[in-house]
Amino acid sequence: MSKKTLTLMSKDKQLFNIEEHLAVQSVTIRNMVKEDGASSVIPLPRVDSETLALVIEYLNRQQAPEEDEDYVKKFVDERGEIPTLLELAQAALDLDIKKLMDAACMKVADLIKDFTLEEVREALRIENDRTPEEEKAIRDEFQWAF
Amino acid sequence: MSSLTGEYKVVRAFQQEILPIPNKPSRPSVLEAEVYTLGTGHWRSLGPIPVTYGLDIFQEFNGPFLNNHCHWIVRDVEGDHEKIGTFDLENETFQLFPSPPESVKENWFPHRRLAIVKGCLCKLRTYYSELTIWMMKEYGINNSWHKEVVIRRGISVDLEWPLYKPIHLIAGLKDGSILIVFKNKMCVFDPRSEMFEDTKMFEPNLSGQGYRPSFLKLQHFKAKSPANRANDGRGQRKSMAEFLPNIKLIDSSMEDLPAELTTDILSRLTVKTIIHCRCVCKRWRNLVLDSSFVNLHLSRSPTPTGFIIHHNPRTCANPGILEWVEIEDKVDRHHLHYDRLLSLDLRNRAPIQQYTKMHQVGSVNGLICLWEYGHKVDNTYVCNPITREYMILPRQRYQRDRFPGVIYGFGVSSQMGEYKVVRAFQAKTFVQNGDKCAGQLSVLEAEVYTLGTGQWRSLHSVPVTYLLNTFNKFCGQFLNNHCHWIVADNEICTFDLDNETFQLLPSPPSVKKYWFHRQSLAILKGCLCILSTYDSKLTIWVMKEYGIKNSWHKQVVNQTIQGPLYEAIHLIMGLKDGSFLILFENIVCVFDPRRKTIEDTKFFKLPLSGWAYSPSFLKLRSFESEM
Repeated sequence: MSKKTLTLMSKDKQLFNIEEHLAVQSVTIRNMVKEDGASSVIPLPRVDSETLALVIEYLNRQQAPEEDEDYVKKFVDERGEIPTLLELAQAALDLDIKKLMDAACMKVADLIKDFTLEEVREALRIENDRTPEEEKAIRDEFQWAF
Repeated sequence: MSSLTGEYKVVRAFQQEILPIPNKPSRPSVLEAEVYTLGTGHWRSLGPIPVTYGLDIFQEFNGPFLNNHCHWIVRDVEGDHEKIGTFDLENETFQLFPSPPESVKENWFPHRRLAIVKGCLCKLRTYYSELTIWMMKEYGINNSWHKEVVIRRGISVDLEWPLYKPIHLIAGLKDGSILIVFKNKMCVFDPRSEMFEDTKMFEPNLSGQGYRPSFLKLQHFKAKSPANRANDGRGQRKSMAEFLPNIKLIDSSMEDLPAELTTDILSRLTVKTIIHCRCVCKRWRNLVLDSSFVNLHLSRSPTPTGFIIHHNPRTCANPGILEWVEIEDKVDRHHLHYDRLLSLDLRNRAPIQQYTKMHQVGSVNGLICLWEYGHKVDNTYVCNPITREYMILPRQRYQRDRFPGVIYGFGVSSQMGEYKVVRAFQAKTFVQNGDKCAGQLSVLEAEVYTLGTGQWRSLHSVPVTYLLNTFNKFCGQFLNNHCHWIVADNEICTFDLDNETFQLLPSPPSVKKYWFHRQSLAILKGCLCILSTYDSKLTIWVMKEYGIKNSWHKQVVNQTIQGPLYEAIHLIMGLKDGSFLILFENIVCVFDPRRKTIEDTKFFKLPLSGWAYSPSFLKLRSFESEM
């Protein structure tokens, strides 16, 4: 029996082929395959081609189950840039690949854990939308920790 | 779009005075104009600009864009002659533009429209029963205005004339026909056959304009922060790479990430970092107090991440201080991290009474249950040291005065997820059988309090086969839906939080009932365990499978302690590097079974008690009836 291949399309309309038995590690794809056979192209409107290439690389890994945990950790470690990790986490969330999402989120948490507030905002590109008075009020809610 | 710098601009201008004013001498008109360049984040005012024409309220306000200019039909200040006004996107000036030669004074306002066809500016003039399309073959050259198409009444009999409404030109097609909106319908007009044809593709009442799809991303116009703006040169590719401030797009920033991801990432940080991160932005503040975050954060630490130390002086009665120690627990090492900030001083803190003692009852999911007990004082507290909330439970029916033996427990039921406090006193009833004392029946007077219900429920007199032992700790160890205590004869008594019954649990096989045999219960990596000390020997028994007698396993035996031991050793928690954190003679020590050492952590002064603890953001407010 020949292995069935699925085609995934990134938001920038690039196509990626992947064997079905590997693709169904994604619960989202598994459900799609179950529902309608997913013979045509599966569009992933929130995943860009760079990130999808990473996800495909991850799904194609040839790891023994007992080495898998270490592999996932190493996989995200090698892509230690916060923007890449966030894209990866979002793709893993959309595709419902729990291990990959956990590892990516863990890595982000690890990277930002010693950041100051300003550094967190900068790293994650968040605008400070509060006045100093508002910030003080929030601090006061957990005053003991400051 | 400006042709030189490639900047996309929006221009809007209002006329300060409506012109013309009848029978008044002409005066200059003034435009209040503003320009928005995509990527800058704000409108720039061009100030009041004097012009020699007035805006025509009968014409359209949206100006077709061609050749670096926007174009509108305007009127001269007398209001007699129509003109074409332009705005130059490059140098941002308003100008007048040559009009087709037929622009003469007309009594009856004809409708005019500007359009772009095949790269040329066109002017459509509908007047009574005639449509004329003028095309400017060479942009800006007055002589190049050319009458392209004339449609007159009579050429198409099925059309109703006169034309009260303007005709809009959408596009010129390559076969020579034109696409127009005529009487609110999308029509194709072929000038050679002079035929109008309704495309019948849409419902009537529409407007339209030529459109070319593109993949141009708005996120490329994100407004830059001031720091970046200073570095960027105009016209460079990266200077365009930003967006309008109010447009939300998928981007690699946390703000655009689903709340699910933000929650996930935050839940993996330490409590203190989480609390600090609440200040990052408004979204994060609320996120941390959301129940989905609270639960996810709880699920991240199924085993305790640290311990609570309770400074509880024996000599003088005062409520003491709760200190919280975090443990960096690694396979190859451990590190205790004590932050004075995290301590909670119970002294001088209303409504806690001074000169009374606080006893630990139990801790689950970051909540701590304490028993305040002293002269005429008997209060049960539940508090969360992280949110600094507390509640005092109502008075119980059974008080200690009449009963010396007590067991107290705090846990969460697995079926209903209810938080329960259980307290039981021992009452003894002697059964008289003739003149011979046949035996004694032990009875527990038990009460259960479910958080949120506002009252204690009595389980009434529960007959049991054992006696409570005042040597052992009254506070129960919570595991697997049950609270556990060691009772007389070294038996393990349990209380099931779901069906609220007392049972016995099998003890380790060889634990004999010696008088000086000291026992304490603890939880080790999710298993119930017993620390058994006798003379100078410490044994740690672990029940590998809960409730299975044969699964009791002798984990550690240590005979190096300077004996004899008169007091029980208490286990706080087992660490990943194989050592144990214990309370030995009221000192927090690390017991390393391989090196056979017991080392004082030297963290705190005597005297104290301690228990394993995982902080949480669980809100007591959710149990409203007590607050």
